[in-house]
Amino acid sequence: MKAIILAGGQGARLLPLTLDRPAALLPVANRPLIEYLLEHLARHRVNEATVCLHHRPDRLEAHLGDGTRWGLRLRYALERHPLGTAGAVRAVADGSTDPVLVAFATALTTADITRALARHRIRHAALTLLVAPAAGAGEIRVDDEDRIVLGDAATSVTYDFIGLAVLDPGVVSLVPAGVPCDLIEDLVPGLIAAGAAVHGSVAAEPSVLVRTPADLGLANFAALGEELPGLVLPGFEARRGVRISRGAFVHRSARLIPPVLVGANAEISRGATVEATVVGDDVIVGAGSTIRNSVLLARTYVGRGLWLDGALVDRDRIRRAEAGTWTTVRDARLFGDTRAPLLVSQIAAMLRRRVGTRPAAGSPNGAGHALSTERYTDATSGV
Amino acid sequence: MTPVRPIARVELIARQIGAVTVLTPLGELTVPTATVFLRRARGLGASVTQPLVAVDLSGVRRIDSSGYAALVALLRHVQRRGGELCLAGLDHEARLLLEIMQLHLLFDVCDDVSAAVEALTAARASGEFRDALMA
Repeated sequence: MKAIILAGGQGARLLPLTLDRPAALLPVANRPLIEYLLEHLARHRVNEATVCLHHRPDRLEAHLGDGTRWGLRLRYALERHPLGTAGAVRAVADGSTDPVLVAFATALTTADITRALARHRIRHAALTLLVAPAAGAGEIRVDDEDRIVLGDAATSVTYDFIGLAVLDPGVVSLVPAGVPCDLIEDLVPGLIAAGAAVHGSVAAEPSVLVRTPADLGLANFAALGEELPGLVLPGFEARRGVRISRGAFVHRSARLIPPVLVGANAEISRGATVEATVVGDDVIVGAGSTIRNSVLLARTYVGRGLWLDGALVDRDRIRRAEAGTWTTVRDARLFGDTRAPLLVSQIAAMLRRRVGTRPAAGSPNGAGHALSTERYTDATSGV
Repeated sequence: MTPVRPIARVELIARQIGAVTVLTPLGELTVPTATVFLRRARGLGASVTQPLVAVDLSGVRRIDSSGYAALVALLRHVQRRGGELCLAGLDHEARLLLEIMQLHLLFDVCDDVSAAVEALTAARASGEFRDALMA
């Protein structure tokens, strides 16, 4: 089965996280979002996919390669001028007579695609959107016959689109060529107005379509809390709810309160407390700091004695859930990049003091990649 | 050619509103200016006995951990003299740092100078009332 993965979006609502990377590479539980999607597609017998690229196409193509890692054959289509989600599908559709599975690259889902595809065929639908019960107002209305309806139909229930859709090949040819066309805002109303069967397939499994920083936080917490069965999380489970990745160091006096994921080469320093948090790769949490309900993205340095609750931190940028805005902290003693030139020397000196030797080569922050038993003993004893 | 960043400066304006000395630093409260600010602040309103000091940060373009360290030192200085200190006029970033460093547990924070003056005056009045009761 073939799929079209829409990974070209600018991720405007995710700025500044998407300044230097496509949204599909944003980390969820320390792995790029799109990796979970590819694994999920492969589980549902997708063996070939076209990835539509636009924003930072080089990074995505370099990361995914030919898809062999996931048992997929990936090919890439570069959109020089974005034509919207439906327009991108039209541009890469190859005239196949099979239904086309369209997946948004920022969809974190374990929805049953096989079942949705079977329903699509049974109903002879033109388009089937996979939806989930809405957390808020909901954007898709589905009636009691699973048909998507426009307006406020009395018998309808609102759902959220989860980023997966099945299109009849005949529908693809209806999308106007060379003109921007959105799947939800343009194609769905157009098909309904034309009398085509547009269905919603309600997924029982929880899903998050990452469109905002808040969604990214939700996706991380969903993965961390193992709410999405089948996601392959990095690291090993030191104890229930506490995962430690390779090269991570947790000081014996630090406290990890589940669920916690400590990323590769990360360091949780003396007396720090980390609770319900994703600690990214190459992150340093300073001595005595308390981090709760937060996501620390890769390479973030958190200084000593700080207190964070409900924050998304990307190096020196912080977004707190209640504020909803990003703040840049220009104080290297509080927040920073663990690979920044100023900090490398400080970290190396700290490691030399702690280990008593020079840090292992080959690690970005000098923490070393070695899978040492002592390190893990430290990590688990500090839990 | 790499642009040269101007040297950070801080000016300190002091004024008296009733019993409260309002200190208004203008500029940056960062590594190069924090000690200057502290020295001047100690020399101004905070040197009298039982001083009531409101520090108006609305004119501060940037404050970092050194700036807050200077404010903590000023708070200790004022408290040693039996006085009280209140912060006012913090912007979003300054408030964020205050909370991240858990200093909001240490400082009294008011939205603006008038609220700070009111709070300090009320605190002094209640303190004197309490002292009178104790006597």
